[in-house]
Amino acid sequence: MEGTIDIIKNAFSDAWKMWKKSGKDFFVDLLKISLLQWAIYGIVTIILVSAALILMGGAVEGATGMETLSLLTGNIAFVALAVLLVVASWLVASVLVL
Amino acid sequence: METLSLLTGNIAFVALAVLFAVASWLVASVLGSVVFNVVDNRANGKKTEIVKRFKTNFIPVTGYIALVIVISIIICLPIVLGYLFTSGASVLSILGGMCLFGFVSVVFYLLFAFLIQFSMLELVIERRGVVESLKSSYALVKKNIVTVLLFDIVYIIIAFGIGSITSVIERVFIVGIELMAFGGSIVGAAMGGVLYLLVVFLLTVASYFILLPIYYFLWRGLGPKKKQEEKKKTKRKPF
Repeated sequence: MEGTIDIIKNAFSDAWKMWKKSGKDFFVDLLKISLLQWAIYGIVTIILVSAALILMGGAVEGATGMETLSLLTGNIAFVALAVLLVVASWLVASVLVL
Repeated sequence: METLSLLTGNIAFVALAVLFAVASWLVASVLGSVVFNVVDNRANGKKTEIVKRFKTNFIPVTGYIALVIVISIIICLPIVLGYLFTSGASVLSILGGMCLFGFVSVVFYLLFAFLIQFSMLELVIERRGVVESLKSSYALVKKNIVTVLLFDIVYIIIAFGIGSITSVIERVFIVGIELMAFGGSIVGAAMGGVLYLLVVFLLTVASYFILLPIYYFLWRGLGPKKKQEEKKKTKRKPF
């Protein structure tokens, strides 16, 4: 039991030493990775919500033929523009943090 | 014909969206695995090249995720069995059957998660193979079962404490946003929403910052550190 508690205590004391020694750099590294992850999730959410809205829009309107095509292309163009903006800002953010 | 075309178009659109979502989730998960390299390198006073590590981790972590998903599906099969055994019965019976078999699944899943808890560290830091890393984690946990169990209890308590604090802070922001929205200040609510996201983001990073090193040093204290010491002791002279 003593060995067990020693191992756990050592894990905490080693972690404490690490926080004191290189805590700031470690936090910045984590910040960079999390920022990239959030950027990915953000882009995906925007695209998926937009895709769902396009599909729902078509269903709600009940439009067919040229009307649907027009609605779809218009929405796709709108989404593409939004995606382009998000990707561009994500790229800028990535270049800044890496 | 028009309807069919629209339908296939929509299905293709949804399939593309799903594919895109899965691919992005995979990229984010592999990126998440880099935090283990970061903690290992910072513990040894080194820097981490995030992009380089991301590339190195991509194939092993993808294989690892695929294998863990397959095993998890197998573990969750009892829930399906519960549904099959009770099919044709009332909704309550079906739910009861699924809960009963679901309980078995949850127990097995917790056991599985407990046994493979060090596998990601073995995979990305020790550079073991996918199956090898699972086996290695299993052996490590089995060898130090009391230590790992006790540590996990302490770790869960700490994680729960951090989670409670962060959820209180997040709740304060949500209430603030709701009050602004009810008060008619939409711009204020939107700004509050952005601030809320920023706070959630920083709290997530802070949780990683506190919890990861403790977990990493326990693993190192149990396994590789010991092995390194043993290697040093039994190191043969070149001649």
